[in-house]
Amino acid sequence: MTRSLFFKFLARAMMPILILFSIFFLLRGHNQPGGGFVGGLVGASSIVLMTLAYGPAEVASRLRIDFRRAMFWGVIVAAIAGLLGLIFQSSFLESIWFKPYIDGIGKLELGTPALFDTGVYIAVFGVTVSIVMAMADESDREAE
Amino acid sequence: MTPLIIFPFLIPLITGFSALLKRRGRRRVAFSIGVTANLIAAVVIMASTYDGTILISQMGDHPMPFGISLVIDSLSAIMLLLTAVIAFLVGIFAMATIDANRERFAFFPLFAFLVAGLNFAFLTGDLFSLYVAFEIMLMSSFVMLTLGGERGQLEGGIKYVTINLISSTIFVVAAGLTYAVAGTLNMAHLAIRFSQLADPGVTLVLAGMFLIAFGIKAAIFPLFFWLPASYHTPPIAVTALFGGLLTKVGIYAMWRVLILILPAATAILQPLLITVSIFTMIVGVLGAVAQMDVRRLLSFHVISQIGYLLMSLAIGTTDALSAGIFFMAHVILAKTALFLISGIVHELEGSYHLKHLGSVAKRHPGAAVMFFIAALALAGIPPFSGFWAKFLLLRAGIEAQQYLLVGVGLAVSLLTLYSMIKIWNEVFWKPNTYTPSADEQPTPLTRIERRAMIGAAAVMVVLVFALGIAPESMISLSNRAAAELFPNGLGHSGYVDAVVAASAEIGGLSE
Amino acid sequence: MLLLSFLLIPAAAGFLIAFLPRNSFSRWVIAVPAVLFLLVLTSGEIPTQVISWIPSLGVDLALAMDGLGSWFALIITGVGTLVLLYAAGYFEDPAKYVRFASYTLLFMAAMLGIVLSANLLLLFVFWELTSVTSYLLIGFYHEREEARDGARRALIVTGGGGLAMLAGVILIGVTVGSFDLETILANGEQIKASAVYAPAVILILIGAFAKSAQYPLHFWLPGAMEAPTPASAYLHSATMVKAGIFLLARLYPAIGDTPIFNGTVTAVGLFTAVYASIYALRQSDLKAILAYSTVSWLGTLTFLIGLGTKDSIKAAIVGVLAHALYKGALFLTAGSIDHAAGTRDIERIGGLGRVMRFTMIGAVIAGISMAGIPPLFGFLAKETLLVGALEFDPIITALVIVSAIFTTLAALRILWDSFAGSIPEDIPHKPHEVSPIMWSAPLIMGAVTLILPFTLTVIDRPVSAAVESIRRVPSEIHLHLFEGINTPFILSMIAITAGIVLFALRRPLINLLRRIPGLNTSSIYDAVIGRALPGGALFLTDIVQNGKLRNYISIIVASFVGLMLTLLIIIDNEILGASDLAGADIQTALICILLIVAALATVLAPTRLAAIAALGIEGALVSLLFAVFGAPDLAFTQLMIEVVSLILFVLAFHFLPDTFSTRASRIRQLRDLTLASLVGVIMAALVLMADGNRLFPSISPWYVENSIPRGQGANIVNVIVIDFRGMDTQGEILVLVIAAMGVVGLLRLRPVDQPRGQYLETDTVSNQVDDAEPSLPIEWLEGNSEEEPNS
Repeated sequence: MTRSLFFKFLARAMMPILILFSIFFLLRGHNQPGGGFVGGLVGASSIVLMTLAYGPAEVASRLRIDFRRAMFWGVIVAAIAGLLGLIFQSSFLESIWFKPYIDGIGKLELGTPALFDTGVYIAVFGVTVSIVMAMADESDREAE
Repeated sequence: MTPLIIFPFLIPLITGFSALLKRRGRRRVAFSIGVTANLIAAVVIMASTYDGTILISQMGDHPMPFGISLVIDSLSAIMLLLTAVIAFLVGIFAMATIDANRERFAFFPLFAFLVAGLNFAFLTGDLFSLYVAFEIMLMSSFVMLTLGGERGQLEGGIKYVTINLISSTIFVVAAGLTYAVAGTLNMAHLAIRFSQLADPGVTLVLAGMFLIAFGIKAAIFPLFFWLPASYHTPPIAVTALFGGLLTKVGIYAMWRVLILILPAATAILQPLLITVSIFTMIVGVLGAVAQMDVRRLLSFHVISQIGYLLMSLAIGTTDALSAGIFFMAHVILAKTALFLISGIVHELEGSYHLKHLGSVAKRHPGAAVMFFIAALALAGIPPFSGFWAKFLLLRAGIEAQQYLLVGVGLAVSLLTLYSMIKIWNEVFWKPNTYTPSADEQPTPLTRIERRAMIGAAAVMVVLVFALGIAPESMISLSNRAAAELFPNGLGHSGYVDAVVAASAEIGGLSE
Repeated sequence: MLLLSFLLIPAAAGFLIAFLPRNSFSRWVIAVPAVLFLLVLTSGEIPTQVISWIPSLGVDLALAMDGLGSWFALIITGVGTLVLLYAAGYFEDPAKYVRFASYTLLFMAAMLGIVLSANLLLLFVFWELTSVTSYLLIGFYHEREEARDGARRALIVTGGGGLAMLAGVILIGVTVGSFDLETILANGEQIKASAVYAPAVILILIGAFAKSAQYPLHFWLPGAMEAPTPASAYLHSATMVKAGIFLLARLYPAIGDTPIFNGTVTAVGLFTAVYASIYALRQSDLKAILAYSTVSWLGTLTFLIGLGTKDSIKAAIVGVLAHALYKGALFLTAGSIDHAAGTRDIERIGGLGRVMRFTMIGAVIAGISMAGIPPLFGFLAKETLLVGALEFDPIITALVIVSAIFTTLAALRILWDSFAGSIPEDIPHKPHEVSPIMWSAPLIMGAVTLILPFTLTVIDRPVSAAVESIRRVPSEIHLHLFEGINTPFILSMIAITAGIVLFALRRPLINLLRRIPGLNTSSIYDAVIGRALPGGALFLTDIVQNGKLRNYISIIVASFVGLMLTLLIIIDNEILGASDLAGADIQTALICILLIVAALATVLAPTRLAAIAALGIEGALVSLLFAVFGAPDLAFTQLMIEVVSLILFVLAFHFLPDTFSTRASRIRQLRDLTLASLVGVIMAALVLMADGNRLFPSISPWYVENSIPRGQGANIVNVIVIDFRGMDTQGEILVLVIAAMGVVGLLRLRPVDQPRGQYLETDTVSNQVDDAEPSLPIEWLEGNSEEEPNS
């Protein structure tokens, strides 16, 4: 696959923006449009762009993140959030909220649903990147 | 106890992740612990519901019908236990026979996730959650089916997934329309609301949609094509797991949705159900009669037996439902046993083809005894489990004066016997004159693997045998499960009443 | 539990000897039936003993030994002992003997179960078990194809009959409300008055006739002669085939004494008796002659039950024993002859009396008994038979005599052609006398046949008891060998004389008989089970499971369309009118029109890339629709999914040729177009139907109200997804993860002999699968490929 220089530059430039955006979506999701699912997709799209621009092998060697492992952790994190409810409250997925006020930042809204949403984010992120990387990898090998 | 009923979902989920460990030994230990824990959980659940208690838990502690309910009635408890037993034994069988490559590509995690999906389906008291459970099952089974990438697997897998996606689509649309019509998704709540309708009206259309969606899953006529196209392609452990359990979930869902929620509409659909049941039985068994490959033969029998299970719905009485539940227990055990035994024969002799096998009774008398018992059980010869299953169904049919169904059921059972004799005569009795080709050599197995493989199948056969010799507790359990599920005409049933009572405690279902 | 031990002892012995070391010590297993025989003989009648088994079904281990049961139990254990004795000599290989003895003991347990059951369903359980053990015994020499076929034939016919019987049993059980035999027998009037009486009787008769080899279901019995001869003697002559007779006798009080029962039973029995006695003459295999003459005698017994008088029942009871003795002995003789001469073909043997003296003595006594020549037991049986028949039509009597003549003829033929004359030159083995153990068994049977007529008072009481259990009235019976010169005696003498005369003319007679059509139903069985069934099944399955995905999808979709159309018409709902379509604005309408255009474009696109693009537009429009309806969350998520799937599609289709490889025919295109449009229309109709029928208030306001207080969030969608219905999300992310695992697994793991890059081999993609088969030909994706054939 030949990859244009411009596309490479674009992907690189977009990547941090998209990642930031995705975290932003995740965090604000509870009160405004957004959430873990769409956040994960946006985040993944940054890596997808990189993969298309640089090829999966290069991205993998540079990023050193095992996305396949990450996607499993996403589901595990979500399950842990559910289990916390079961252990400290009365049933699975029951929410526990913890809202400390920290000077300079404001009131933080920490809770097991937020943790659950983070799990969703990680899982969606990992799944999307894993699939795209695997397929891109395959087509790269074909081209050889 | 009640909140803990999430465990049949969590245990296989956690098992799946633990089985992703890198080291083979640890992976297997984790998987073994997982299926064992799952079995223990199912036994505990059976013990706690054995006195007729219905266990209910609200996910996130949100009241019914707004949060998702998990409900374990007798039917769920039976299905959970059967699933756990099959998962345990087929799990052992798989550890003995599955190849290293498939294992490297997450065979055991997929196995565990499939069990998680099955268990979730039996746990949930919510229509949409049931859909989610079906998706988990579909996806993990599809991957297990194609894992290995062999030609036949891919071909079968494509048919499997395409047709099952049609089912998923119809299911999700039907669930959506049900929500629009009834304004709720909780099964008990749906049952109450629909029972208030003077005439079935639009619910008839909904029932038809569910019948088709679950009918594809259950492989009824004329929607079954995916099954014979795919079941013989993966390793036999996978086929055993699928053949034993997967299609049965479709029937389970029909019972839950058509009998519990939409009884009035289902009564109108009775002529259709009778026709479909008859054709499913006949086409399935004739397909089996035509086959020369043991796996394909048994796969067609899966369809034929689905016809019998559908008969419970077609007759539509409490007795018939109870008979169907007993039949379900029987056929899950017997069918899995038969697949496992055919797997043993394949591992020892290198083939599944009737023409390429022979003299197995002489060479492996143990396998022959196991097959003989399981085959007679499937054919409904007393005193094996299939006889009581058949007897219960026929009696329910005769009491309801459905003589046509009864007659076809009897004739099909004779053809089942015929095809079991065919396997026996060819594989076990016929002298073997065939010279095996290079890819038909027996698999080299270590002694432990061999013992595990045979042991798993043997336990299965012992269970089939026990169900035949001592069917009383399973029959009374089925009777109670049917009584809990079957509505009494005023929208009340043991299931609905228990859910309503539980919701009164936490302030849901306010109407 | 004495009665239960009658069943458990042989069953346990049968299992045990299979696991114990196999040596000559195994032969002592004959002690088991011998002891049982003595137990039955000494215990007399035993009232019902019940052990609870399956109370939910009303099935208990209820056993009782009344006169009828005791009579049969004596025959089962007595003949069983002698057969096992004989088999100890017959099987030289101890392993074979053990296998035979094991099956036989299991059979004995099942057979005793039939005659001792006091519960009809329990009786049926044992009934089927005898079929199964019989299957194993017929297929004993399973290396032979004939043995396997004979075993299958017997199991299919008796098993099929058993299924009919099961239906009859359930009908009766449901009518009476119990399977307890005593209750059923006591409620005969209720059964006969019920609407299901006629079908129930017919179904039960089918079962009994199949088991007792009545025409037209008789043909399995000659086929069962593939069994080792001791098994034939025991199962297929003395005991199992009498189970049908037993059942008719057992159920007589409940279903008998009606025109339909007695008429059918009499007619079928008489026809079978005459037909098989003549047909036996066409045979030349000793065992086949014996098999047909057994069928004939079974017909006679059936006929006698059908007559239903005291005399005829008495004749049947006596006839069961007489036949068990002489036919058992003759079968064993046939086994010995086969053993000694290497053939059972009556036309290839002769003069065996010179070398096989002891065998001959036993055989001659048995043969004379079979011929009904006084003073043997068989004579008594025929006398009582004629007494029974004479109460009725002269035609019936005439037919009975015809059957008796041919039976006499067959007996004489067996004896004469085997033992008299000189030994032929071409006999396969040079004959020799068999071991004492082998000739003693038939000799003992012969001795009983010879002695019994002179000690008839011994069996007066058991016969009376058996008749009483059938007729349910006290019956005092005294048997006499010779009651003076009366009509039965004269008729009997006529039959014997005629038999002897015909015997002299046997050669032309046999040739004549072989030329007339045989009316044998086994050819029908062969045509149906041997050819039509497998052929038809394959033909049908090839049509149904034709391997083409597109056909499968079409049928499934057509089913959906058909059912939905029907149901929508049935409910006759004002579908469109009820829904509020007027509220739709122009903007929405425009998007909808564009959606339709994009869908059409996807289908009609000439290349894959174009199709993907059109599909992407379709997705974007859907997200636009979400946005219009105020669901920004959904809209954005949908859009993101569209983007990612577009990339995935491009990556995936990278492996495929850009243009579609096959073009469907016009007709198929038309079919697909019709179906697809119908699905679209129906889906639209369904949505409108649901929208117009919001019959109950939705639970959704609760989510709005509780989003902040319970879920601590203002974004309702998000709170539902991660909190209120978090369980679903938990499941859905698992689905995603599994899907990713599948993609990785499929791409990375493939058979070793399949090199990378084959997915891309567009050159080889064609409808012909050539040698270098690509691992994923495009036909599969497009649904045109074939599965492996069905057989």
